[in-house]
Amino acid sequence: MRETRPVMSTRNVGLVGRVVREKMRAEEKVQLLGKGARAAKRSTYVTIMLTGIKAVVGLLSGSIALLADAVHSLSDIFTSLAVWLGMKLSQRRPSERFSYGFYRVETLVFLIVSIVVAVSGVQVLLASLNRILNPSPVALASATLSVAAVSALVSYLLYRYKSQIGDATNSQALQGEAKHSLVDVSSSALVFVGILVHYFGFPWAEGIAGLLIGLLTIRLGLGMGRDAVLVLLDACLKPELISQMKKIAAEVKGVRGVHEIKVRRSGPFIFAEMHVEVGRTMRIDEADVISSTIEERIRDSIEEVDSVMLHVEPSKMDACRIAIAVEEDRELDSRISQHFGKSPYFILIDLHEDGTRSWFVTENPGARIERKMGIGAAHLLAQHKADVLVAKEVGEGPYHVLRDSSIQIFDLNEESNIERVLDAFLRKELRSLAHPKEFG
Amino acid sequence: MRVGERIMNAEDVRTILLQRGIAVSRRSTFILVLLSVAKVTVGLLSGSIALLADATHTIMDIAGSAIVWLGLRLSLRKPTDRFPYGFYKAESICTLIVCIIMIFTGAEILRDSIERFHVPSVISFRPVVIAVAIGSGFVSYFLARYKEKAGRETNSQGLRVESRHSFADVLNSGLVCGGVLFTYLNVSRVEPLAAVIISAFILWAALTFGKDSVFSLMDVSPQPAIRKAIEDTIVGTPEVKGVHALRVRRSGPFIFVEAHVEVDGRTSVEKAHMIADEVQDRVQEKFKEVDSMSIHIGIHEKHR
Repeated sequence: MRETRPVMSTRNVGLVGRVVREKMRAEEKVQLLGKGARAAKRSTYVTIMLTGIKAVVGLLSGSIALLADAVHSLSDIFTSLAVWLGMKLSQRRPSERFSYGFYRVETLVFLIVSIVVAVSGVQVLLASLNRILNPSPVALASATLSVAAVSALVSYLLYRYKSQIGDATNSQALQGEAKHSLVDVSSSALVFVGILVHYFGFPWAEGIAGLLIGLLTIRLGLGMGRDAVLVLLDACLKPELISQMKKIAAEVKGVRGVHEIKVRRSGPFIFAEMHVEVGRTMRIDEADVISSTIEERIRDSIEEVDSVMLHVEPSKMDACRIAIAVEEDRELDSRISQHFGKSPYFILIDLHEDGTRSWFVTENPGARIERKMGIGAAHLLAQHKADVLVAKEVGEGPYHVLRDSSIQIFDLNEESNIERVLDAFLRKELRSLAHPKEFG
Repeated sequence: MRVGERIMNAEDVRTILLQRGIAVSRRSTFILVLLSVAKVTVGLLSGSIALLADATHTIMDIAGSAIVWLGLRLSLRKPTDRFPYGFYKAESICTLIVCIIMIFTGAEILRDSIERFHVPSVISFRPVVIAVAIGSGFVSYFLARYKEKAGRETNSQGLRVESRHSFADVLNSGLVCGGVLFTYLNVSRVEPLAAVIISAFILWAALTFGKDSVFSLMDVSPQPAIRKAIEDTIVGTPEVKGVHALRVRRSGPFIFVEAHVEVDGRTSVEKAHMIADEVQDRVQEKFKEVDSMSIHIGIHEKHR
């Protein structure tokens, strides 16, 4: 059985095109996550090297501060490794068991990073308190000073690198890791400044600066943890996305209304859901084209969107609106016009769900123009949001305009009375006008 | 308004389930509080250090129980603009926290028992201690049974892991009584060995349910059998020609379903909407834990 596909399909990418694009998108996502994984891998190596240097210099110089710092760096190695593994796992393709993919691993890693950051804040706080309560003389060791300076510099570079890649890949875990490095910058700087300040005779300064850094770090860790938990709870963190999606969907032709938009985050990506209202007589094959258009446009303009689940439903706000070309303005008694573009009036009848009807007649300004009268009339009907046109003939141009506006076209056949047309429509006896039809 | 009524009913069922879970976790938290108060009182009156130490352990149990209670209470909240999918995942997060607490508890017992292989612990022969141990063992056993049953009914992993937690307490109480017996029989190695087994049990339960809650946070699909049954139910609905892109995810005790349902391309949107309602009806009829279904009606491949 051959079905004539709606004309709209010529503008659509088509099934094959869609499959290809889908593949490309999946590739892009894997590449993005791969980029994040590489950045995490590199920073793991750098952190391991830095820790090694601190440990070696600490052992050689006998500096307890450096050794303690090296032990602290173990947590940096741990979180970098976690982010690396997390980003690697996130790249896995969705499976039957994990039908939404593994992006959430990235969020879980973000949670772990935030806990480690908060705990390290508590440690800094306790150490500083200890320093204030039990001040101990600090030797001006050039080895310790230079290692602290190098470590601060390297951590700063790592911070820059990770936050840049984190922003580019939209990865919260990498962004969190970047902040973790920033904490390291401050604690290394603290060692450096502490020694100098001590030397110049302000032994209290280091402890107080440490307290401050500790508190800020705890706040940072808790804030990050809160974000991670919100994502895990499927919270909507970017309400502006909803209005953006609503706008995009509402602009697609044939869409009557958009509601119940839900978005939730999974790792660096977003899953969206929305209800779209269309005319109730629209056919599913046409509704499908509208759905894929909406999905394409949303994914084109909001890159982080992984998928959009569209639930198409009949428009609630109005009844079915039927347009018929008429020769005169005598309401339901008007004579039906045999033409489309040239007819002077159109009657638009709303069939309500409870069986009642309401109608209005509108003048066809297109009838007075010499050329392209049909196109003008089609635009008029689209403007009045008609669902259905019952007509004897529709030229090629207007036919396409009507189909693009998702207006169903039915053959008037030999009917001449509006009541009888409506009855035939309700009994579903009207045949669809599958092709443009024009009489000389 | 048939549609509205049906949704209300499914929602009611879920609310009732959650409220039952909340009641069970609240009651067991109170029972645990009473138990620890009893232990502290008897411990102070009799001057038994063993009982006082046990009372501090019960505080961990109270914390775990209270966290599950909190998680279930949060889950009951209605969806908001900020949390459009509701708060069910709070239950999974709370379960995860309980599992982490249990991992620490299990590790501590393991460490203690390994120490005891070398330094045998002093066993108390005091009848008060043994009496309290037997009493608390029975209470814990009752709690374990109660929570497991409710956990299964309400599909709450938090209650089920709490049930394991209580069962570990039963074993612990048994060990206190057993210790007396072992000392009497003069077999010193058995007690620490039994403690190792208990800690292994706790760690195993914590890791199993911890994995489960992490998977739930990762949008894991329920058992393949449920997924298959949902798929069959959808396909079995009249007018439905096929289904693809079926995605099922667990959120706390409930399930969210997304599916592309295929129908004949000439079907009207109005009709399709009715089919979608029917599909949701049938699935929720069979699976009470299905919270919401997101259905996209599309063309059956053959008709493309």
